[in-house]
This record gives sequence, C-alpha cells and structure tokens, in this order.
Amino acid sequence: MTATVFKPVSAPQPRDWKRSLEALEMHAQALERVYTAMAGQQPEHDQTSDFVEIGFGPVQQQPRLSRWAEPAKRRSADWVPDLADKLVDLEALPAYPGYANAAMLLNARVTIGIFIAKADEPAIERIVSSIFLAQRNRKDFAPVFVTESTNFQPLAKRGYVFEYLPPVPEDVADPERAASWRRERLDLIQAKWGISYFISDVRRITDRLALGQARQRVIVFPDYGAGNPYLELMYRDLRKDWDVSFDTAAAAAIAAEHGPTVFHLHWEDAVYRGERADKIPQRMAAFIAAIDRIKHLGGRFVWTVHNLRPHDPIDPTLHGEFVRQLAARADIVHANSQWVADRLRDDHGADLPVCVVDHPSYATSYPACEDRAAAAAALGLALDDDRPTIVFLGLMRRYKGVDRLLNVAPRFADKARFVLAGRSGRYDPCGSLPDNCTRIEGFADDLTVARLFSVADFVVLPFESLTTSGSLLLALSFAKPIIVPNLDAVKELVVDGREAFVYDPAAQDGLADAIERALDAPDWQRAAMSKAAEATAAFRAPEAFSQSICDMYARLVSADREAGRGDDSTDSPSRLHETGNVTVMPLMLKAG
Amino acid sequence: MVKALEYQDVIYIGDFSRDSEGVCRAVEEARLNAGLGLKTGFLHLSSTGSGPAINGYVLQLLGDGLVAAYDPDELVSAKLVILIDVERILNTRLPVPMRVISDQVVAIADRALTDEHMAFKNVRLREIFGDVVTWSATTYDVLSGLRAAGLKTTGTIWESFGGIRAVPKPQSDRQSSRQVIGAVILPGKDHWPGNADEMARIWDCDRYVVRVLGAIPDHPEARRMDVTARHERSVAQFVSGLNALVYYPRGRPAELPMLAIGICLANDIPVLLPPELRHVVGKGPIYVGPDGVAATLLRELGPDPNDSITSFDPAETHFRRMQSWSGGVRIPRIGGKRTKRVMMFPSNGDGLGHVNRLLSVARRLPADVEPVFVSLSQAVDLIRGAGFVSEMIVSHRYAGLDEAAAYPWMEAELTDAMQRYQPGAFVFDGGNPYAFMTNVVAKRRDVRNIWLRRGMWRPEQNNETVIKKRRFFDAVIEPRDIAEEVDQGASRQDRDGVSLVDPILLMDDDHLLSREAARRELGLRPDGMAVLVQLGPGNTRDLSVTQGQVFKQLQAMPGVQIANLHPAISRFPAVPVAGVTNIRGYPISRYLRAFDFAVSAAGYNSFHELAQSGVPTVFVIRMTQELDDQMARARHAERLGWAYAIDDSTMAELPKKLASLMDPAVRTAMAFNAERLAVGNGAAQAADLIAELAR
Repeated sequence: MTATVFKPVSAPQPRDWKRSLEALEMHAQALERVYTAMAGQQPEHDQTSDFVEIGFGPVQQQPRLSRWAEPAKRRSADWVPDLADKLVDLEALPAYPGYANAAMLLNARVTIGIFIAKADEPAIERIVSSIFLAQRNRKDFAPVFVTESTNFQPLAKRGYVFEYLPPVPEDVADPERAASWRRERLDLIQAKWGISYFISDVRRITDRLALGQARQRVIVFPDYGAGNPYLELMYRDLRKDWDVSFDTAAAAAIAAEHGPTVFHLHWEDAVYRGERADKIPQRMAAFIAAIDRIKHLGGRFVWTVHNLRPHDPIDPTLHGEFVRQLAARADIVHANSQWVADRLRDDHGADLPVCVVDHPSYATSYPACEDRAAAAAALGLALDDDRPTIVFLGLMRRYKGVDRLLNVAPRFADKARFVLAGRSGRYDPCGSLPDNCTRIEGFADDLTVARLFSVADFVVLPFESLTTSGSLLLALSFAKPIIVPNLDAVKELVVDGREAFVYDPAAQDGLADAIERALDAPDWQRAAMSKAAEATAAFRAPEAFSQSICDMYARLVSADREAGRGDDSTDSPSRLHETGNVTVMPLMLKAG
Repeated sequence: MVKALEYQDVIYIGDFSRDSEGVCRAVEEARLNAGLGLKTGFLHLSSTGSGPAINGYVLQLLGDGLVAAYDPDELVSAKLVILIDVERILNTRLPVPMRVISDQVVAIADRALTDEHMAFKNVRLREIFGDVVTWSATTYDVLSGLRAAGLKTTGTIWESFGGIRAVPKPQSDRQSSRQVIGAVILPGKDHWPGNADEMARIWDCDRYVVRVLGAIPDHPEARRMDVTARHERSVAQFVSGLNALVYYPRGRPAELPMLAIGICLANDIPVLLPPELRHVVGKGPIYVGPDGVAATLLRELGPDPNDSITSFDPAETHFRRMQSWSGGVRIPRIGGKRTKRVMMFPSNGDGLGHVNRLLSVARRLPADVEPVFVSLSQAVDLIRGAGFVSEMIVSHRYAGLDEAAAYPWMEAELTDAMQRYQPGAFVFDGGNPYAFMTNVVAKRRDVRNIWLRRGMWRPEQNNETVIKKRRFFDAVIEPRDIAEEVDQGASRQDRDGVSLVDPILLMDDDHLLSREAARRELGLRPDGMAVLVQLGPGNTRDLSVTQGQVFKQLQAMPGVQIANLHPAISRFPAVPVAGVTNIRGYPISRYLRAFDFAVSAAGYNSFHELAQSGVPTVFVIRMTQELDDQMARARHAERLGWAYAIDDSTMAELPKKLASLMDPAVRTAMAFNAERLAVGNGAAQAADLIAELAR
C-alpha cells in the first residue's frame, strides 16, 4: 500500500479559522482515502477475518429482561403537560457533519435522518460510505444515523452522529404499544436533531441526495390562499423558484432549522383573531418569539402591511406595540402603495426597510363577464326596469360603511337599485333592508363576482377607512365607475370625474350627493369613465405585480449575500436594514 | 365531546402545582394505593389561576401510569374523595357544580384556622358535595379546632406516612462514620430556632453530617450543612436516608413537616422535637429541649441504640384506613412478589471501566432483581453480548455538544427510559454525576439511587462540587483499589456512610481460562512467550506512536508472540501489523492467563484484572484530564513488585523493562507478588447491596 503523506494541519491563526477548518477537512479526506484504500486493496484483510474473536464462552448469561419495557398506559387531562409540550421549547441540536466534512459547519445545512435496520458490518460500511460520498459531492446536509445495529464503528470512525434504536423483541406482549413507542422515539430523535426527513431505503439514499440544491422556502401566514386572488398573484411567479406554502410562524421556525426560509406575514390581526381579550398579549408574544426564532436560525421575515390601523376592536396601545415589534424585526416591509410606505416611515422611522410594490388589478383573475341578463338571472336578480344597479361587494364589516349606505338608499328608491353581496360575521347591518336593496348572502366565488360586476352600473365603496385598495382595483378591473370617499388610498389611484365619483366622507350628504351625481351622469360620461377605469387597472398589471414580488425576494437574497450570510451563521442584520433606504420596485408595465 | 363517566377508587382533589404537605402526602398515598391495587385519580384545581407548573412528583406518578388525571369539568365517580390543602382551595372560586360523585368526602386540614373560617368552608363544601363531608387534620391541635368548630370529624388525625423504607446503612456506619441527622424545612421563616447559638447546639456539624431539605437561614453554622432544595429530592427519599430527624422551629409554624415525621417514625428513625409540640404531634417523637438534643442523639445513635420493637407496615395501615373510608368495600390487593428492576447507567469514559464494573455487578444480581442498561457509553454491543438489554443515550461528548444544549434532550430521554422500565434502583458508575441525570433520578420517589464510585481521583483536581453531589444518592458504593493506600483524591476524604466492597472484577477466579485453554482459544502457540498489549481505545488521545514503539521493541525479541487487544469501542480500525495478532471482543480478563506479561494502561479494570491473573505488567501511562490517578496506581504496583510504571512521554525506559521481563525468574517473582495481592471479588457484595436497595 502506498504510504499517504498527511499534510500537517497548521495551527489556527486568530483570524484564519476558516482556512484551518479547510485544512482539517483535507486531513480528514486523506484519512478517508486510507480507509478506502485499505478496504479496496486488501479485501481479504477484512477486519472480521483478521481478528481473533473472544467472548464469555460457557460463562455467558442468557438475557434477563423478561418483558419489553413499554410506555405505561395513562390517562391525561388538560393540566398535564405531555412530552411534546416539553420538547417544543427545546432547541434542536446541531448535527456534526462528520470529520471529513468539518468545513461544512460554515454552511447552512439540512439534517437528514438515515435509518439503518439490523445489518452486518459490511452492509453498514457500504451505507455509511454512500452517505460519505454523497456528502463529498454536495456540502449542504449532515446525516444523523438511526441504527438498530450495535456495530457503531463505521459511524464512529467518521465522526458521524448516531442514535441507537433498540429492535423490539418478536415476542413482545403488546406489539402495538411497542410500535407506538418506536414512533415516539423517532419523533424525539427527529426533533432533537432537527431532522428534515428520514431515509430508510438504502437504494434511495443517493437518489434523494442527488437532487439539486434545496429550494428556498417561503411560508405565508395566514392561510387565506384559497379564494384570495391577491395572494395567488403575489406568489404566482415566485413559486417557480421558491417553495411557497401556507403555515404558522411556529412551522416556519421548524423549517428554518432545516434550510433557508422566509416567513411572510399578511393581515397581522389573524395572529389573535378569535382569541379572548386576555389571551391576546400572550398570542402576540408567542408570535414575536417565533419570528425571533426564525431569524435566529437564519430565516427572514417579510411583512405586507394591508391595514395601517386594525379594523377589529382591540386595545390600540397593545396593537401599536405589536406592530412596532413586527416592524423592528422585518427584513422587508412591503407596502401596496407609496402613501402607505410614507405613513409607515412616519410611524416607525425613516430606516424602516420598506419596499413598495403597488397593488395589482385583478384583470386576469376572474372569468369573463356573462351577458347582463344571464348574470342577473343566475344571481336571482329581477332587473325588470331601467333603474341603474349599484353594487357593494365584500365582507360586511363596520368600517366599510354599509349602514351609511343603507341609510341613504331609500332616497333613491325610484332612481336606483342596490345589491349588497358578501359574507357577514357578527356585524350584519342588513337586518331590515330598504325595498330597493337586495342582499346576496355568503362568500362570493369567482363566478359570482364576475356576474355581480356584469350587472353593476356602478360600484359603491362607502368605506370609513381604507389602507389597501383591493376592492377599488377589483372594480376598476371590471371597468366600472366607482363611488368612493376621498381617502388617501383612493386619491392615489382615481380622480373624481375620471373613473370615480369621489366624495368627502366628512360631509353629511357626501355619499348621497356622489350617488346622485353618478345616477345623473349621461351615458357618454359613464362610457368614458368605464374606459378610464379599465386603463387605470391596466397600469397595475397582475403579471408585473408577480414579477416585482420576485424581484423583492431576489433583493432579499442578494442583500443576504452581500452581508455575507451563508458564510456566517451569525444573525447579522440584512443589507436592507443597514442601508435604511426605502426600496421601490419599478413596475414592469405591459406594452399597450 | 362529552366523556363517559369514569370510576376510580380514590380521587384526590387539590392544587397539584403546589409543593405543600398535602400534595406530598397525596403522592405518597397514591403510591400506597397503587400497591394495594386501588385506582387513584387526581383532580387539579388551580388556587392561583392558570400558570404554575404542576408539581414534579405528581407528574412522575402520572408518567408512570399510577394515577389518572382529571379536569374539573369531567364526570368521575369515586368511592372516596380526599380534599387536600382544603383551606387553600376553598379560598378560591370552585367550579360549581363539581362533577365528582362520591358517597364519602374527607377534607384534610394541615393548618389551623379560626372557627368561623372552618364553619364557612364547611358550608361551602356541603354546597358542592352534599352531606357526605367529614373533616380530618394531620395534627392534634388542628383536629381539636375542627371539633371546636362543630364539624363532623374522622375522630382521629389523618396520619402522614409514606410507603418508603429507610435506606440500609453500611455495617460499619454506626461505629466509625459520622452519622447523618437532618431537618425538613417547609417554606416560611419560622422553621428554624430564633437564635444562632441555639441552632449550633441542636445541629452539631462537627459530630454529625447535617442535611437539610429546604432553605437554610443566613448563618455561618448553617452554611456547613448539606442543603438539598425541595425540588431536588422528595421528602420521602430525603428522610429515609437519615439516622435521625431533628426539627426545632420557632413556636408553632402554621404547617409542620408531618410527612417527614411520619415516615421517620414508620421506619424507626428517631425524631427529636421540642416539648412544645407534644400536644400537636402526639406520641412517637422524642420531646427534648435544645439543651438535651446532643445527649439524646448520642444515646439514640450510639452503638447500643434504643431500637423500637414494634414494627409498622405502612401498606397495611393504609389498607385498613382505605377499607374503612371506602364504605367497607373489599379492596383488591395485588399478591405475589414482583421482580424488581435495576437500571445500570454507565458513564462514557475513555475506556470500558464504567461498563465493566456494572456488568460485573449485573451478572451477580439475584434472580428477583433484573438489570437493564441505559448507556452513555457506546459499548452497547458489548453489553448485549454479555446477555443484558441495553439502550443508549447519545453522549454530548461523542456528539461534540455543549452540555447546556444537550442536557435537556438527554433528560427527556432518560425520563422516558425511567418511565418505561420503572426500576427500583438506579446505579450510576461514573466520576461526576451529570446534572441531567440527577434532575431525573434523584427526584424519582420510587427509585433508590446508588453511585458506584471508584476511588483514586486525581489529588490536584478540585472535586468539592462533585463530592457534594452525594446528596442525590441513597448510597455510595466504592470498590476498593489495590493501590488505595496511595489514594490522595477527594473521594478518599469522603468515606462517611460509603459502602466499601472488594475490588469489582468481571470474572471470578474459577471463570478464568487456564494458560493452555486460553492460548488455544486465542490461536497462540502453547509454548514460547506471549505478550498482551492493551493500551486503550485511543479515542481521546493518539496512541499510535506509543503502540508503534511497543510493537517495535517486542518484535525485536525472539520468539515472542504479540497479541494486541483492540477495544470494542475504539473509533479507529486496528492497523494490521506483521507478527501481531489482533484480538477483538470482550472480556479479555477471561484469557489473561495465556500471557507471560503484558504492556497495558493502568485503568481500574486492567489493573485489577492483571493482578487477579498474576500477569507481570509494564504499565504505560499518559495522564490526561479525564483519567483517574493511573500513575499513582502503577507506581504503587511497581513498589509492590509486580509491575513497572513508565510515562509514555519517556519511553526510553521501555526496552530495559521489557528486557527485564524476558527473564523467567523476574517474571515468576512478579507473578508471585501479584497473586499475593489477590483479594475477593467485590462484585457480589455490591450486587447484594444494590438488590437490597432495589427490593
């Protein structure tokens, strides 16, 4: 056998730790080559045959455990914490990647559980070698071996972490409980080492590990994905390169242990919605703690601000503090318009890492409009005269001003009919409707939305406050003139007389006057306003929105790179924080 | 979802987040109930609103499946309901209606309250449970108060006692060692005497080892006491290890440590109390003023103690009490003796010393005591090969982890193992008891903790904190060392109450193979010289250079057969060397007579096994931080004339020593000297002690 010359590992210099780790790895690789050479060149020098085996001989004792130690059957109550409650507070341990891969400690890495059933020494050696080779090719995972065999030498000599899982005896009294214990034990091992997944089929090991670089993950909260076109548009393009899913902050923290993760929060009131008032601070604190954990593990936090002030009744001081905490942790605060960005900077300081990506229209999100009569019939509306139809669409909430609308509706009994569509919760102002008002209860699916806009001559949005112009853009997308108050979010998008009838919400008859003006508008004006609405919506193309979100995430990643993240596991602030600039993503407008 | 009505024999209702007398008593009674075959439930009512964690001893019961847990809104029926800490839970708003159905409710008061309070609370209880409430108290003065308030009482006090037995003391204890007196201190300031002089007179820290469960006052004398926090050991475990309980409070505290007093009395452990408490506690304790404590202790703990001749069986007494209060229904009792388990917990040393000693003991445990191993050592293969079930907890040292990060996980894993195996005793073999381990086992009420602690600690190391961890153990067993007369380590100074046994060896003499048989099995020629090289696994230090020098020297000697022991837990593969037979497996001690001499490390096992087989040896020592005083041990052997000791940094002496061993006359003399040292095998003695504690 050719002698292998080991390069001496130079003593680490104070600032040269990275190089010394690389030297260590070289040393370890040389060691591995010796192992391989020994195994390859001297097969008959197989360790088993080379040894004289000794043992107890006739003084050997028979195993003395009479029964498998199963977990006790127990009955529990709310006040009794179970094992999972205790483990949830524990941080997963970093799995050492093996002597030959010590330099991998510098990289973000996924921990993978490798299950080895009872096997002989050569078989274990083969499995461990496969993993070792896979690790040489890609330096982004650390294995934790879970073995039923007590032959640990192939693992120990490479410095791998391993757990021994004792096999359950065949004559076990209660196989179900024994199996249940093994599952619990594997769960514990998984939580302990932060294992992202287990591989038990040796043949699949290299296949699984040969997959490309682990995709970066985006976890979105809350899960309003189904039926929310905004979220659908936001992540449409991002999904091509990122693994986007909906889940909680706690789940994101777990994901962050296993790989690059961005947690994206929308509608922060979802954190405490439905919770008892005295529990809300606890909820908020737990949520903030989860974000801290995500960030501690190298994850990132993106927050899209949909509402500057909460719509639900909540202690404003408490909510203000919650929002302040969110802002302090956000790597990007995404605003849907420039005025929201300005307000956020006023509230949280000029160095808030705000990124403006304008709210999209919904031009491509809904089915094509049906014929007006067919749509009315499908909705159960009797359009038996030529009175214009004014539609209100959306979740019935107090700040949306529906009761104000219902107050003024009877004044137009002869001139207009009103259709109010959308879900109502605890607040339902439509208990006793004026004769010229029709209520369409329940969630409006895409087809219903399309039909409603098909029958609408005008859309009314009598909001008392508004941060995000989603409803407005929805109406514009359907080319409908709008009756709206001159709130900040409105003024940025529409102009009175161009695509909307704008009124002063402080004026006592502002809404009624605006409706009056709309109803009195001649046909040509309505047609012109309809065209203008369509054009305004076109400036907020959904495609551009999706692409800009991708750019926003790309900026986040590049900021990480520039800040040296990935080479350094410390939780350094992102580039966006350091610059303190407001980043505005240019919208990519479709030609024409 | 509505749950179905459940039935229990006894339901205890109380605030189980507290560390009160009531909760500790309920825990003890629940264990007695389990022994009697009574089904027990705990219904938790928080007296402080949500928040505090549940008492750890209660969680143990639940984890072990000995008690069922209930929420206040659950429907449950019981033959007997016992209200604990009743004065506290009645101060809070109780859920009404209670959904616990029973024909018999006993409310037990631990502290005195005014008549008006008692009457008021009685009305509240009747509103909840109906006219089935009977009151009792744990002390006579409180019982009198209940009667004076016109409440229906049980007629006598509710005696506190646990089912635990006192720890057997080493034979020599009463004559030669300092005995242990203790105090159990409940939360509050009035459990110590008012002045420091009085305290010093009562607890003489020079004459006795003074142990305290609870907090000590800020006083120089108190700082000499050995203090254990209440969450670290249960009252029952703590007092069962005492020679006497000495409790001298200031006046009459609101609550007294009646459980500690009761357990001591049940186990014939003297209890010394001030005369003022006679009307409170009643018969049993010795009432003596502070000035009489010293004389009383001398008399009671002297060589001719005043032992009680009456025997008290807690299980029997509790059985009668339960039978009486469960409406006369016959209670099923579990018959027959159950096999007891002993959990062996070897530390992860550099070699196999910890595992080897525990295996030596495990092999000699009687048939009714079943050993199971949970190992920090990777030698699981070897343990299973020896015929024992073993699990493994990954050591933070193997995984290169910080203790603070790894210990909570290791604690969770050990808790799981303890709950599944439910051992009666836990034996730790290691130099320094781990905090995660003591957190789990020292608190387990039903486990006797034993530290199998070999001596020869390094004298230069400061092991004061390690020695103090004795408080977590019920017994310390120390195997003697041939070199013990040169032992200068901290353990040598801590022999009070330690059970000394002969050196622990895996094989008895009659298990050792003869020279011929051993050579045959090892494939060595029957004639000619054979030398064993066993320098250790080399996991924590590089042995390759030393090993190479030894082989080179031996290969230069004509006709010598060289055998190299490759330890089972070595991380490194054995390198094939021409002319060297590699031996793998366990135990080498069975084969040692095959060799004319050995070159060896001087760990406890190698040292004593080589002496047992009379093998002249060159001990090659490299002192590292984690090892015991191997150099002292080896030099002692050199002085005794059966070995040579060399430091592996000065291997220049090796050729000379080996050349000397080539002389048959030298070898014969050395072998004779080694055999002269032969003492008995202490493994059986240790096994007997452990079995006694486990039963």
